[in-house]
Amino acid sequence: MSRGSIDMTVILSANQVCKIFWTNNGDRIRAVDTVCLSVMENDFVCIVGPSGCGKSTFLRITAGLEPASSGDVRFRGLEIKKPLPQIGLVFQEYSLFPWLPVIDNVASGPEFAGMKKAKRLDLARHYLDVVGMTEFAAAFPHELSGGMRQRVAIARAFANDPEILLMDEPFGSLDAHTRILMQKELLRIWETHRKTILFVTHSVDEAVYLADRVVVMSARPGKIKEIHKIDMGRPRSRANPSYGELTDRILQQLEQEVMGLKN
Amino acid sequence: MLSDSTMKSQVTSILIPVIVPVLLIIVWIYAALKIGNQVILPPIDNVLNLLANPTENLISMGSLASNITVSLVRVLMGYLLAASVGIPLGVIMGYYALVFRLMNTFLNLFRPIPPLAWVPLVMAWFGVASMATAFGVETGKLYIYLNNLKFSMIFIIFIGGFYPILTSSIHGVAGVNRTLIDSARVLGASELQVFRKVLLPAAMPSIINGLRIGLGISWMCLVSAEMLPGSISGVGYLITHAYTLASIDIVIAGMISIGIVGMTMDRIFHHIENRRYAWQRLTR
Ligand SMILES: Nc1ncnc2c1ncn2[C@@H]1O[C@H](COP(=O)(O)OP(=O)(O)OP(=O)(O)O)[C@@H](O)[C@H]1O
Ligand SMILES: [Mg+2]
Repeated sequence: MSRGSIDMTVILSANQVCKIFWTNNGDRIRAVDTVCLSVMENDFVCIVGPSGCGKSTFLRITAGLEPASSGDVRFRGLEIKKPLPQIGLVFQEYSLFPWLPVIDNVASGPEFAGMKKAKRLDLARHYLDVVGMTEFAAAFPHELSGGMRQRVAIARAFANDPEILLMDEPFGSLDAHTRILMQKELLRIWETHRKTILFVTHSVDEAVYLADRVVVMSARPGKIKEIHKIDMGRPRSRANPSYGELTDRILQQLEQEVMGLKN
Repeated sequence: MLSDSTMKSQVTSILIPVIVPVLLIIVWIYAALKIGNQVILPPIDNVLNLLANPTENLISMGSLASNITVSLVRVLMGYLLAASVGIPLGVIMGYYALVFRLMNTFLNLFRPIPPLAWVPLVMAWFGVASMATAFGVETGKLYIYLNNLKFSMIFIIFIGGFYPILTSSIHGVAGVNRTLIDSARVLGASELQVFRKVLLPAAMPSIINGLRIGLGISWMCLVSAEMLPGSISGVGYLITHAYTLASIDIVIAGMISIGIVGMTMDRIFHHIENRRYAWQRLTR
């Protein structure tokens, strides 16, 4: 199932992106440091890096929720200044609307866009089915487990049909088994719907399983340390020697970063 | 079929809240007998009689029911005004830090002033002007109704309800999880949709709570408002007037009515809160 290099259009480009935060007591925190990254149409890019290195911040800038301090992120050449319907984001933290039942949560993007009720509920039902949450359509978020909520959040992002999907540790709260199922499901959706995915994860194994390219970030301030291209075809087997080799290499790089942070 | 133990717990759950009132009634009956002076403590049956026949005309004061109705209309007017200013202002202040900074000091300056302390100023401003003055009605039945709604009263009730509603709206909106707002924006919500579909529902439990407290305070400001010159009706008026006639049974019946109406309004709110906003209590 190798996809070759048919789509070579750059859909997303980060140019020298820096982000500086000012804390309440006047300290400067450099969260993102001159990040340059080009994402091709239909690419699956994973970002791994030590905690606090600015991964979420970078995704927020890309989603148009936060301005970069310098540099810019462009969608098809146009600078992203506010959220665009073509770019979706699955948040790292809990983000469902607690007053809406699951189905209305999933339908909320189409609702904002003015889609008729019957149509958007059909759409929502379809995506609930995709993430295996159909029987919870009428439940409220507080009735779901953490992993189930995250699946609903993913369905909600899909239902908005974005071209680019930014995902911030979406499977972090899932058990190992569900996680593997969801990874497969995500690959299936990505392949059938031809989306571009930028996926942050703490799991190197997950990154190597999913991505066309794995971006390794350094400890804060977050710079790109290395980008690994993965040429293995899909579905990937964790038994494949190059799978283990690559996982090992990336883990070692991360370890260096975390140790460097401590010293 | 109810099991024995659930029957038992149902009976006790009904019994427990009435114990203290029943004790109070017993003390009352006994004390009234002992004192034997209507002007200090009338027998309970006099008061119950008044409460049981609320539509009966009381000498020169109209009936209990009609006075309560007048009071309710006044409270609702002042209160609805307080809500229609307090909620939008609070929501905007809670969302835009700049507006908050602009308004907060100014509003807090007036917050400690008890509604009653507004009376002289309010009288100087509005005097005995009423809704009848506003609509230019000068005769007829409508005049009598509208003239009951004095601006000064409505203002006092407004002040009473305004601050709790404002504060809870500010806090409700300021406390909304930023991620929910960001989610909506990423999903394509316009600024107006963020307000209507995220801020309002998320802040609603807090707003409802403020509305509930505000209604209670508005209702409490009633008596002071109805003591204003030009007032010739309302429960507050009924109580003060009955006192000058030494009809303490009417005073007590009026007070009990105020309590019952206030409690009922509070109950209704409580019910709405519990039914519609269960998600808030349960959200982890
Ligand atoms: N709004 C903010 N104000 C101040 N500092 C912030 C803000 N948001 C993030 N930071 C800081 O920026 C740095 C990067 O944060 P970010 O959330 O992007 O990290 P991350 O890589 O996503 O970490 P994790 O893997 O733990 O989720 C952190 O040091 C954080 O404290
Ligand atoms: Mg993060």
